[in-house]
Amino acid sequence: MDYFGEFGLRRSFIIDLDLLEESYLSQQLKYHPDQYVNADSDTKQRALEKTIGINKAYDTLKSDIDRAFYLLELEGVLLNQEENLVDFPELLADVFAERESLSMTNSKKEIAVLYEVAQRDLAEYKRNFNEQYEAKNFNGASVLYKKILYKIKIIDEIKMRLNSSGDM
Amino acid sequence: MQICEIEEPKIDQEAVVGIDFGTTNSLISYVHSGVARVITDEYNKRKIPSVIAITKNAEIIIGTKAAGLVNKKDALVIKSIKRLLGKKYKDISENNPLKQFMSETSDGNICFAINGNQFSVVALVGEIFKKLRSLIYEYLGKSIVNAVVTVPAYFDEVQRRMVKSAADMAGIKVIRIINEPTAAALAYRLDKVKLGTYVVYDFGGGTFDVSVLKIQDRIVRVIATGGDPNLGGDDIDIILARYLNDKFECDKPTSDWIETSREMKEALSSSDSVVIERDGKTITMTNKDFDLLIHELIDKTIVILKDTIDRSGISEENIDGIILAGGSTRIKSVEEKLSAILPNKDFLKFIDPDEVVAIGAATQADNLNSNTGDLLLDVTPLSLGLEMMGGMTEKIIHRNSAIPISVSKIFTTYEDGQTGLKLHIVQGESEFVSKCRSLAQVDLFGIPPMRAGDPRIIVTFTIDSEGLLTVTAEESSSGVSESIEVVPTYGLTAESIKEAILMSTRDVDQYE
Repeated sequence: MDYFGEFGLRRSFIIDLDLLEESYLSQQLKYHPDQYVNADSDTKQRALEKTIGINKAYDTLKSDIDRAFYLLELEGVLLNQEENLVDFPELLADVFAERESLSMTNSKKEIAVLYEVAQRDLAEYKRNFNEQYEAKNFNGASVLYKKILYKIKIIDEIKMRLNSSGDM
Repeated sequence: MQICEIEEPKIDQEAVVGIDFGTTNSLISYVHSGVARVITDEYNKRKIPSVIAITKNAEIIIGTKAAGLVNKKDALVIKSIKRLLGKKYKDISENNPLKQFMSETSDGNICFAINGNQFSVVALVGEIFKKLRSLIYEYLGKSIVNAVVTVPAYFDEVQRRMVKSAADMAGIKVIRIINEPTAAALAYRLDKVKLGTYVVYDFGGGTFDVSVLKIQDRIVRVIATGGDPNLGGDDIDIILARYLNDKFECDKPTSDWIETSREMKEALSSSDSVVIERDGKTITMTNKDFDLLIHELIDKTIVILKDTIDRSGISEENIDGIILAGGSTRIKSVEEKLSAILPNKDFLKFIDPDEVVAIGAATQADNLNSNTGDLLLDVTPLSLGLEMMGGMTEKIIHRNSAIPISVSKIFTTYEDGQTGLKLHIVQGESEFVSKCRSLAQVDLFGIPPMRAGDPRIIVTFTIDSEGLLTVTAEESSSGVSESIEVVPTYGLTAESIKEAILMSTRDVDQYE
C-alpha cells in the first residue's frame, strides 16, 4: 500500500491535510512504542519500526514538495532532489533573473514585493503541477516540480533578506 | 477477618516521580490519584536550591541548607552547576569566581579540585540527584526511584547524557528524559486545559526554550522547538550586578552584588520600584530602569520565539495561547513584550511557573508507568549529521523532525582501493563541523578495494522513541557493516565514574 492508502487518502497532489493529521494521530495512538512499554522486546521493536514508517509517510505527505516528488516516484519518474538544473535549461534563465533582482535591491519595500510575487508564482506552480499530474503528463509535472523546488529556495532567501535588512 | 490494618512496608516499593533539575532550583513532583503534588524538603520548601556546598572537612551539603550557609568562608558554594554541563574548561570566563577551583583535564573538560578532592561536573550534579533521591525516600518512604527527568529542549546529546549519568550515579532509574517546555504543556494537559495550539515560553534561571505544540485529545504533540541553552535569569542578575557595582562605585568583584541583584529583580516583579541601600548610599530602581538594562536580553528571546513559530509553519492567528514556565517569566516586561508580538492570546500561568515543569514530568512518569494511553510526541531539537570533506556538515536528520525516525543516505569512497571510512557524527545547525557538537567517531573497515566512487555505503541514523541515537553503516556489495549506539564521551574516565558510583552507594546504603 502506498502512503496515501495508509492514511485512507486518494492518491493525488491536493489532499485534505486535516484528514491526514487526524489519521496520523489515530495511528500514533495505536502503534507508538510508548503504548507498549510493558510488552516484550519483539513487540516493542515492531512498534518502533511501524512508528518510524508512519512518521516517514506523514512527513512525506504533509509537505507539498515531498508529496509532489513522491507522486512522481510512484509513477516511475525518478528526479534529482538536489540543486541541479542540467536537465531543465529553460528554468535556468528564470532562476538567474530572480536572484539578480533580489541582489540588486536593498529596499525592504521592494523585497516585500518580490516576496509577494514569489508566493503568487509558487501557488500557481502548485496548481499547474496538479493539472499536469491529473492529466498524467508526468514530464510536464517534473518541470513544475523543479520550479516549485526553486521557488521555495528563493522564498527562503527573500525571507532571510526581509529579516536582516534594516528599515529602508 | 481483619483485626487491624497493617501498613505495608514501603521499602521495596517504587516511587514514580518527575524531576526538574533546574539551574537555580530543583523540584520533584508525583501524581497521586490524578493529582500532581510537589515534594518538600526538610525545611518544608518546594523549591530545592540547586546549590552545592563543600566544607573544609569535605562534607557535601545540598539544597536549602547549602544556599543558606552564612559563613561562606568555611565552605565552597557552587551555584548554577547546570550551566557548566557540556562546557569545556576554555569556555569558562576568567571572571568566574569558581574558575580558581577548576582545572583542565587532558581532554579539555572541567575538573573541580576542592580540599584535595576532585569532582567532575557530572559528579557534582550527581550529588544534587542524591539529595533529591533521599528527599523522595523521606517523603514517600520508597527507596526505588523511577523518574522522568527534564532537560532544556535545546540541550544537545552530550548534555542530555550528562544529566542521565548524574541521575544514574545517584541510583535513580531514569525512565525518560523529556524537554522542559514539553513538560510544561503536559502539566496543563493534566489540568484539562482547552485543546489547541500553544507556544511554551520557558525562561528559567540558566536556559531559554520555546516550543510550539498542539494539545489534543490524548496527545500532546510538539511541532517545533528552539532556544538558547545559555540565556536565563542568571544573565539578568549579572547585568544588574554590573550596574550596581558602577552606581555604587565599588571596587568589589561584581559577584558580590549577585545576591542583591536577584532580590531586586524578584522585588520588581511585584512592585514598581525598589530601593537599594549600601554603605549609606541609596539607589532607586524603577521597572522602567530595569527594562532599559535588560531589554536586549529579552529581545533575544523574542527573536528565537518568532523564528520558532515561523519554523513550525503555524500562523500566528492559529495560536490559542502562551504557556509561561520558568521563574524569569515573572519579570513584568516579559509578558508585555509577548502580548505586543502575539496580541490577544491567553496567558496560561495558573500553574506556578516554577513548578509547572516538574508537574509535567510527573505526569509523563505516570503516563508511562501506568499505561494511561496518553501520548507525547516530541521532535528532535537539533540537526544530526556527518562531517564531509573540508570540514563541512551534511545533515542527515533535520531539527524538528518527529521521533522516532530513521534516515539513510548513501556515501562512497574518494580514493581507488580505499578500504576504510571515518564517520564523524555531529549535532548542530552550522554548516561547519567546527561549530557543531562532536558526538562520536566511528571507523568502518573492510570495504573491499574498488574504484573511487564505486562502493555504496549506506549510513543510517535512527532515533528511537526515547531519543537515543544509533548510527549504522553498511557497504552494500560486501555486506560489511558497523553499528553503534552513539554514546558521546565527555571526559568522565571509567575511574571517576566508578568512584562516583561507589560514593553514591555508600550514601544510600541506609535506605536499602
